[in-house]
Amino acid sequence: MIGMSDVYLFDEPTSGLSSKDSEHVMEIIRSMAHNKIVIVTIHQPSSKIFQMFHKAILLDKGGRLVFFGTPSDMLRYFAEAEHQHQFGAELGACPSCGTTRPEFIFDVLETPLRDLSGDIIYEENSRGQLVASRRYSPEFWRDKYEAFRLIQDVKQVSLRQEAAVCTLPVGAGTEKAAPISLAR
Amino acid sequence: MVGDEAVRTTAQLKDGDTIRIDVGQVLRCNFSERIIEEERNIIRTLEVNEVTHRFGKGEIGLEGISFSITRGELVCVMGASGSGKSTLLRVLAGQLQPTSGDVFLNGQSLYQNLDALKHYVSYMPQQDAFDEHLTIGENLLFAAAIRAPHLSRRDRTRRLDAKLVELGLGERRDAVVGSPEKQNAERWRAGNASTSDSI
Repeated sequence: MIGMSDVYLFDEPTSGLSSKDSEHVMEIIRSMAHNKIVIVTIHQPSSKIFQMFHKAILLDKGGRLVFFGTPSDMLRYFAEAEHQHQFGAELGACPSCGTTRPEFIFDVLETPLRDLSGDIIYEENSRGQLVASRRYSPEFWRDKYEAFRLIQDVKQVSLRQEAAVCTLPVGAGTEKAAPISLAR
Repeated sequence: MVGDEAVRTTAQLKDGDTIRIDVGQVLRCNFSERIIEEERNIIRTLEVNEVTHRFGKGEIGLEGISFSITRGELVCVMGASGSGKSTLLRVLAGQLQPTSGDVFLNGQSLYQNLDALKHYVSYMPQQDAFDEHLTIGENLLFAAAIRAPHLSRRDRTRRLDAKLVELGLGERRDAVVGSPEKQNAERWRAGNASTSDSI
């Protein structure tokens, strides 16, 4: 009866813990993960913990999926986004430098909106608190990610088609191309 | 395969080690209970398809989320507070039916086969679901008594002891959960989903 479950879900198992204790808890969770599906929510993981995961899901305000992939792909994606939009040098990362800090992802995601003189523009949130306005909304990031995913899918299909052309007599029918999902 | 290492000839086995026979079949050494247990694992994939959830007041919890995970994967859900991390987990746990979209385990709809599939999922919510005035052992025994009333007290205690050794908590079983060494409480918490569900 022991070990019946195949899927484990942990909600914030490391909240309120020191970084060392968090790592310890994650080690234990990882040792359980062997051959199972384990999903862990973490508010903002440390770099070391972030790299322990095979995949990471990033949600933005309003429950929008803004990235799903390996931790290194996620860092690369946001480093490139920052580079593309020239978000300002103060974040200090470029695609070639290769940052490992997951905090960087949030810095890019929540890039503040600035006026001409460079001061951050503030707005009131639903609870009446003053918060920095965001330059890019959750919708922006969701759309950007969907476009990214679509391009990845198309790339994969064309790669497989190329492969299929080379090995047509053998490979025919064994592998189906991933369907392209046009969500919107 | 012993643990994560491939073994060709012989290997030393410790309590709690796993021997992998097949992708979905594992033997777990449980020497303190003097048995080697077989673990099968049925769920190969977890798929989330266009899941949207709105709360009563029209507040959006999740918006059109899709992804899929295969077994052996350890996945992190990140995001600021209020981005729907806990909502997503509750949807995956079968506790919160989404407004639209569905969750699939091995291609079968979780919410249409909830009675059959919910046993494959263990969910550890954010709130500390233990009494900090009791010891780790007492807490687990209490959880076990609720979940497995058909077992005798002796049986429950024996299974508990084995699990505590596996989690490296053997010598801490009489420690009060709320004691300064919070790490151990957390370690217990990490193990709780597996222990209390499976005892």
